Amino acid sequence: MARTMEPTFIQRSGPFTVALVGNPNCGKSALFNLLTGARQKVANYAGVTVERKQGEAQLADGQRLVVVDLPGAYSLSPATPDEQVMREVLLGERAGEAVPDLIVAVVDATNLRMNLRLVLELRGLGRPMVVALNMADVARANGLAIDTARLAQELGCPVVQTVAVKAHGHRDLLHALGPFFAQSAAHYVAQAPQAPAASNAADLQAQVRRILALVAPIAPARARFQHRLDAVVMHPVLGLVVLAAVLFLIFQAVFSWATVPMDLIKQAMAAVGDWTAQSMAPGPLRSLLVDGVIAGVGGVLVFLPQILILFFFILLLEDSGYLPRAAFLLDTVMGKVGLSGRAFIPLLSSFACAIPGIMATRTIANWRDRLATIMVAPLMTCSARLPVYALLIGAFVPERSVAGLSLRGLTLFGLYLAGVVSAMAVAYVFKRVWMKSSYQPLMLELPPYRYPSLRNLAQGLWERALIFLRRVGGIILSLMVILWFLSTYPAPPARWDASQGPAIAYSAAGILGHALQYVFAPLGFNWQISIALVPGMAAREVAVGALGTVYSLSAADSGVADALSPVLAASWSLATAYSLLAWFVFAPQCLSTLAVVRRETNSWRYPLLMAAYLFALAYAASWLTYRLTLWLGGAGG
Amino acid sequence: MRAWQDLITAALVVASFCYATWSLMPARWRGILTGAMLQWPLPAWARLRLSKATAGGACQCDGCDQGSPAPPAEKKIIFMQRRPRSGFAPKRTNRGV
Repeated sequence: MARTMEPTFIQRSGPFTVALVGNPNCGKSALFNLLTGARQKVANYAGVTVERKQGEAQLADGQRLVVVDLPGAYSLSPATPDEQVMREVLLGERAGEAVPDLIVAVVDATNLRMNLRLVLELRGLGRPMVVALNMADVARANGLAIDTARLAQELGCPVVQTVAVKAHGHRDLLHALGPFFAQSAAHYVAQAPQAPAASNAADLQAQVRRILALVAPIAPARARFQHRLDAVVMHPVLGLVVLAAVLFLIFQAVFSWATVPMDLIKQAMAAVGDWTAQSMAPGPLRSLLVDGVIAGVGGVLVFLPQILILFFFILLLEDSGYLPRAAFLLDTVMGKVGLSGRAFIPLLSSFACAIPGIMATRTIANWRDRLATIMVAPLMTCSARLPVYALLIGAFVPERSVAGLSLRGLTLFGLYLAGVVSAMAVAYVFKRVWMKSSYQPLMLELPPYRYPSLRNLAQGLWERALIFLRRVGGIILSLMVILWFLSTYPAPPARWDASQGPAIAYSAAGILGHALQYVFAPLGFNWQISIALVPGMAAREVAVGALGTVYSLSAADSGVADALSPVLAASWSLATAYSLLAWFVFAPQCLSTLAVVRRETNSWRYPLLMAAYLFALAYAASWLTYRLTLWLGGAGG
Repeated sequence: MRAWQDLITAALVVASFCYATWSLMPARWRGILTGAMLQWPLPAWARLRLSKATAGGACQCDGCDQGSPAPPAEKKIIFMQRRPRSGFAPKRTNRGV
């Protein structure tokens, strides 16, 4: 029984708040981007948004609104932490956050049978509401005629048709919102939210059926082509072959397509380095620019094309609707190691960065399953490791074909596979020994296949490029400058000459590197590598930049600033290179990831445990790889 | 000329150290530090930039604004088992029960 509350007079000191609420994958984030001009991630699967996002929109009369994008949910009774976020915000249970003044219920017009249930529940809250009938174009194309006027009459609130991905209908939506806030910008009378009634799912469904019979009596069937495609893509054997082929193609493309743009960036960096060295008088600033900024930061910047190619494919898969199918396909495999099939998408997100991957585990209802997924997410190869892999593969793996496939692409595929296999193995151990829980069946809504939107693709790539360039120009640049300083000072004694060894050996970083070498020598790491590992804790790519700076300061000529790969190939043994690759498959996480694990688990215990087990695994794997390669004939470094 | 190079280099190193420390410090410390700095008489643009910078981390990932909410009460899963009908077994009926 719903509790009726007296209307409350809400004092407003700031702008009104509008919350976008709806089922997962109905287009809330696309609508949010359209209304606010934000660039939140949009993809064709459920569970992309796991936290509230906020932006600003403007009504026709110039009044500003705060728009809140909430994680998708099927009902007001939450099953997962991300659905809990939605409920807490709507009912004003979130600390320090006012109840939204108006709800925009976003509905997937092609799936009213599922979406209207939540709308009916939202109506029960007694808040002002507008329904946005999104993907109206797809519904029309599918032959579904929706009587919006009748729907508005049945729901008792305005209904507006929108096509968020094509930037249609958002003005109509803002127009429909206007009258709700027209009374006064300073004060607004609204009822406080009523506690949601314990709604019976069967009653709700009966209401939905009744409304559908009135507003959209002819429901189209899903295209036969989609069923045929699913029969192949989700086949227990053929599906796995398709998945392996898709992943394989991605890693081949990362190496073969990126050659030309990478060479161009390398040449540009070399030209800038030469010009700087020739134009400036010798001194600390010239050394900082040539050895620190150009050798360090330029060395990382070179990998931008490879990162963008990787993300091009990830975005393509996300937009097409293939990912949830892959999750279903791998549910059996995941179940065998004790993980839920729902863990697939967080783990896949971790290929970009472990942080959004760990955040995405909020879609997993069972705490132990969620914890196990958080603990193994860092083993998936994040994009920050790609520059390290690419540098070492470029230096040590010859550019030749094996059965028509690039050996370098195969090696990269192997390294990514090593990350996945080790994640599964660690999850198996955790679930058997520590986080035991029964098998949780996977229930995931399969979205229809869609042609990837060029706009989303371009926006996604632009965002990734900006994130990478911000990192390069921000934290990586600052760490490179600090590393250059630590590698240059204290300066060598007055009577020093080059025959006594490089000047860097007398610097703070040189002394630290030689001290750390005692720990890392069994893995074949020299003192230069030992130095590079330390700033690599802040961000993985920094290790590449750090190697550039350290080798540039160690070398007599300025050739290192132009190209690091040939210098590494000449100075390291094959065993050392493979050992370093093995280190980076498991390498302890960057500090930001550990901080997010702390926040998501509300405890220091788990991030500390994660750092410890990853360090132990990295050390053991590197040692084993080094010894094995030496035994097989790779010379020691 | 050498003195200028020394001066600019020192300024760049100090600025980089401050930036890296700010970016890598725990968010809570950054919040406390921002709170203290906002007490100073700063221009409006600096105050806005400072309060915006509080949220950012080294990884530049957004969406990390609040910690995980308390997990909802776990729902019990009811497993339905389909029993295949056997041709030899007598038909089950609820009639008369």
